[in-house]
Amino acid sequence: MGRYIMGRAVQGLTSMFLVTIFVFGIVRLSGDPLQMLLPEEAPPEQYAEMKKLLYLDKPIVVQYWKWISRVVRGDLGTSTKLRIPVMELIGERLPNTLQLAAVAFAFTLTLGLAVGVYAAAWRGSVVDYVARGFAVMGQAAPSFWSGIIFILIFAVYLRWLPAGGKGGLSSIILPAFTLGWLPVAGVMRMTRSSMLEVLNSEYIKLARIKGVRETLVLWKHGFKNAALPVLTYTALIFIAMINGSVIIETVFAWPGIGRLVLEAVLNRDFPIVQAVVLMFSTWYILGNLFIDIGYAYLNPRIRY
Amino acid sequence: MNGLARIFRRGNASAEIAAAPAVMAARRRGFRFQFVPMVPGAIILLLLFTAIFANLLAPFSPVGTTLADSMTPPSWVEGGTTKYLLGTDLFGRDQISRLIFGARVSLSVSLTVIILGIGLGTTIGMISGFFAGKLDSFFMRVVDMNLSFPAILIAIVMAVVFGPSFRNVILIIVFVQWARVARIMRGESLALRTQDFVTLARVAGASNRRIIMRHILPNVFPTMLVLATLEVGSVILFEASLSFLGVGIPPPQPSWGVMVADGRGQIATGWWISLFPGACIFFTCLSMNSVGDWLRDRLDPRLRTL
Repeated sequence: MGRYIMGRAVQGLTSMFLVTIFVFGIVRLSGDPLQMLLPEEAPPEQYAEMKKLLYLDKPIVVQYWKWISRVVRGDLGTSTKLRIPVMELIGERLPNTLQLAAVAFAFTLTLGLAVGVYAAAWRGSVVDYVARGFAVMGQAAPSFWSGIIFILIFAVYLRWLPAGGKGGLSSIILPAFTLGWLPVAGVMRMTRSSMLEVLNSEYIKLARIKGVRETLVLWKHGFKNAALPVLTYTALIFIAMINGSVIIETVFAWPGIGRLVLEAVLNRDFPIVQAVVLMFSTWYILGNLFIDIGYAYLNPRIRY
Repeated sequence: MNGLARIFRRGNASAEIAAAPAVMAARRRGFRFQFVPMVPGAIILLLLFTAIFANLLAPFSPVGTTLADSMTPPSWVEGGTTKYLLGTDLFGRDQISRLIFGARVSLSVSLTVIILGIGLGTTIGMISGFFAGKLDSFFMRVVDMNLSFPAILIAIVMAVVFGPSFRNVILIIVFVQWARVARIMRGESLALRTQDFVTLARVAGASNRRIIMRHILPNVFPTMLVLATLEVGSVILFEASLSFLGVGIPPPQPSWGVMVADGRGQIATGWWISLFPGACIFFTCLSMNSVGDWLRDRLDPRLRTL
């Protein structure tokens, strides 16, 4: 076990190192990093300042070392367009993204698990068919389009919910539902197939013979045993949602990290882009690491 | 077993013998309708046809603007004309013509990506699985890293750094896609390398290259085919997402993703601009996914967890 965790941790660190190389390298790949990092209209003093900051007259290894040691200390640079420290910008936007992801995640879990369990229990019923249709559609509908269609229906025609921006509680419903649709589909499918397997087993039959109430059979005897693969999957979803926010936040004009980074990319404001890519990749790698370790801990059969 | 024979094989032999009278009866009755794969298959064929003959089918130029006809609604809505069946966008471009040429863009991007990505992934996966050992763990580390990048963000950054163009979009999607393929193909070849027929081929003096080409490849071929079909949908979605965000196929080329983005600002006054291209993406992916699922159940049920 200890060896496995060590091995996975080293692997995670190697991944992190490669990500930093990528983030560091990408602005240098296409020629002059100054041209990449600064807006065209930047005054010469800003160029000189940036050149000094990046140690461009030193060898590339030194440049990387200087950059990474600043990053590790939490100094991610200053936005070249807005002239505000990147950390400040991220701190301002991050809570909005987390709120959106949390609501979508809660929605995914409740709907995905509940419908998945009953779709398996009532196999071939209307619930099962509707659930499967919903899942298949979620996997084919592009989220940016379904978001726009939801705006059309619920904001433009019915006028029930606001079309975008961040206001009261009602403003989070549409973006969270859109963000959650694809993961709901995934959780539902997984819960359903995992439950089908469990419901076929002898101990479920025994529980039923004993006369245990159906709800108890499903949730206590069935779901508890079917939950493991689903739970590891849901942990991945949370991370994927934070990444998927780029599209959803654009559609719904939600003031979060996703929109910040897209605007930064289009404005060629690279310090922000570097910081966000670095941050998202770190979460991604850490999340995967914890899932693998947790999974190995919970399921002794898994040993690589 | 020969790969191609496996593709055309249906079920196992004993079931086939047991079902033989029924099958004969069905053949005598002739054509039997099956919703999947026939309906989605027909949609895909129609799309291919549209994409190939786009310049003959489209009534107008996909990029030509007629500002006087800006925001004409579809023909069956009040204010619409039969000249523009599905209406026009803000610049007065005919929606149908753009959708038809958009099919060409979507399909050519996704088919090229699939050929390159599946080719690269399969090659690396087969080599990695077949030789195992150090080479394998090196390749698998690279795959792990590739999979730990947030795909859409990396793609956006690459698109901005390298500049959005048709070729770059293809290369970027291949870059984020090949690793998934490689991992699955590696698993397949890893299981095959210890099989008797591989050992016997080696005893007979076959070179590694010959074993991979003549014994491994035909056996992973059905998996490759299933993966290729299942990935088309996600590649189309990925291209559309990039184009929607403004870093994919550069305008004025009519990509479905760009068209949805064009209509976003006009959603209250011109719902048709976003609705139709999105519906095209939706039905294309739905068809591809269901044909892929069907093919998987026929050829390679072990892949069901995908």
